[in-house]
Amino acid sequence: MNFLPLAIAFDPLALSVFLLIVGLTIGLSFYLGARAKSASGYFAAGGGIHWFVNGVAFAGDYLSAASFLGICGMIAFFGYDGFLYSIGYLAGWIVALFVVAEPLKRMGKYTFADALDSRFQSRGIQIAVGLSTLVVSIFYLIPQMVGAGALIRPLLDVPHYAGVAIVGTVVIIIVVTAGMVSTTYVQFLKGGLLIFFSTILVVLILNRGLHVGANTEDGKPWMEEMSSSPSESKLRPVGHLSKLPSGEKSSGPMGPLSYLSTLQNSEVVLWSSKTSTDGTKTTTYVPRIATGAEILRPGNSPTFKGIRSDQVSARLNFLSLMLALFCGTASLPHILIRYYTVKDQASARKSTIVGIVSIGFFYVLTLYMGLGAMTSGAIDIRDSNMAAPLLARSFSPWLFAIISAIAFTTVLGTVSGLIIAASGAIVHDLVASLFHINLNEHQQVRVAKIASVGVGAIAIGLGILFGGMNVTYLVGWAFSVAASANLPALIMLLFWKRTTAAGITASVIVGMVSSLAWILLSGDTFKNIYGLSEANALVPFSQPGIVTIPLSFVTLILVSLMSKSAAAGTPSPTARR
Amino acid sequence: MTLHHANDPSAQSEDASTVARNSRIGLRLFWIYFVFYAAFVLTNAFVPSWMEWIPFSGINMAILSGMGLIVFAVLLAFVYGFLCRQGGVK
Repeated sequence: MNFLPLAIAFDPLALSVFLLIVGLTIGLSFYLGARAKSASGYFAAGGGIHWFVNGVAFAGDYLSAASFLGICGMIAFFGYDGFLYSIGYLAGWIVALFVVAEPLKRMGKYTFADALDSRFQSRGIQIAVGLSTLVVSIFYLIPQMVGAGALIRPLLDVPHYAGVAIVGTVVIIIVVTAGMVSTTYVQFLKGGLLIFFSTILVVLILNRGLHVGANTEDGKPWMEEMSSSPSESKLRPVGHLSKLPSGEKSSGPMGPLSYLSTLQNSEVVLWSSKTSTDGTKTTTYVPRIATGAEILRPGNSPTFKGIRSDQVSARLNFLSLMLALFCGTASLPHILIRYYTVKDQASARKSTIVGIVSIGFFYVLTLYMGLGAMTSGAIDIRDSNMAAPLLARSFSPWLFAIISAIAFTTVLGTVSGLIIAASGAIVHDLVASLFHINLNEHQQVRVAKIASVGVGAIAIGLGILFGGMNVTYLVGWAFSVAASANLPALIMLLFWKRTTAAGITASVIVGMVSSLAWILLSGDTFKNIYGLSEANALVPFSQPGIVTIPLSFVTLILVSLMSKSAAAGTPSPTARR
Repeated sequence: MTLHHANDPSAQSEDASTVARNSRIGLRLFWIYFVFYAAFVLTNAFVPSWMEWIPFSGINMAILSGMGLIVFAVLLAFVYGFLCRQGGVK
């Protein structure tokens, strides 16, 4: 097996293919965007998207940088634990299909707040849900921008911040000139291409099989002096088997089941890092041999290792994350507004089924792509997010260019959808309700485009700030905030007749603020963002969902009961029109 | 538990009986899946060693149950689509 250096620096072939695919995507976006001038066209594609196209576009929206780059990277670094995210993300679609899809299509028009406010016409609901949409969208934007920065770095040999800035600028141009029609078709194409080329990648992985081989120098750990320029890196890619079951050097082509069973009985060299600051910041990467059985079981990553300890808080942290993933999908604004792009409830249902099939198939592939990267000498140990593109590069520079371009358009498409959701919330929910400004259709689109520039700029800043963190871990935060702020209100509106406008408003605000506060006070944030010791954290575990989702439900019930009795026989005090 | 809501801005809506029937089917399928998902998550959280058991073909329970949940979600989605296919439009 050949092991390639990490620095790619202006490979003309890779760059040409990359620019061609990205250029086609942006061209298509401009062409379709020019045809959607009305508010309905800009925010909801006029409700005229075919259910199959919308279903694949669901996959395009959902299979963001977190799914493709983050999960593959987490599996490549830690094994089975990354696959737990795949399982949780897909399970969330069950809530979307069976509980949320059809009612949401019936009740809403442009934004998530439309649906929650359909019965009450309440200014409080509009403002609270508009704010939560904005916060969740920005939280979800962070990992997309981090992923984009990681992708651009090896292609253009630019630092992370420049990559984030390039992506942010391109996306702002797309959103300002386009809208939901072009975003939908871009997501449809991107979703289809992502699944198709991921399938090819997995076929190549199985065909190559497993090999024993080391690319270390005499088994010594490598030292890296942290450098501001990627081209100065002294590292080479890692990831290999140290032993196959029967002592052979190569397994030859394998089937999907035999690949997993062979790996189960093999040994893999994994890497861990330690950073010390003694004048200069030095990171040491140390290899260790792990058995296949260890890799293919839960509890091998820093995120989930606590489930193998006696700590109750670690188990609660795991339960909390899996609950947030289950509840979060049906609470994500950029997913929910996609239900408005089809004509009726039947189309909403059918497009969700297409989405589940596409997304489910892709998540099965993530396991093979992650394990393939782990054992193919393709890992950049500084950045887990690059595992899938570098795996493609271990087969061919063409495939690397195509996969990188698709991953890049993945980020473009998802970020576009998120910015449209955020700008829609600003225009429809906040400007009208908070500032009492009534805009005509033309003005709505214009204000939304101005808001898009602002949201895009915030995303660029946060993408630079959070650089280096695993993107799927960051998405877990977005799911927690979304599930805490949005899902309880939606579920109770649908299934509890005594729900009031005040109850919904309080539930959304309490869910959003409590989950945000929990994240900001958690050990992971202390360690990764503030650079402080985890021991100083003010909450017992990092994932908020298991506390803040029930808290949001309880708030809604209590406030609804109190406001119902206070306003018995009179119209709701929060009624606006 | 039944589905109810007052506002209906959509131009084309399924009739009330279809909405109620789809809601009932959806909730039943949701609870079926939820039970399996909860069992999976609780097992991983409290007895992760069970996931190392290899029942057949050299594949452990972690992989089998995880893949199984993904396939089960797809199957239930098809079942839901099939059961709701006769919905009327007013």
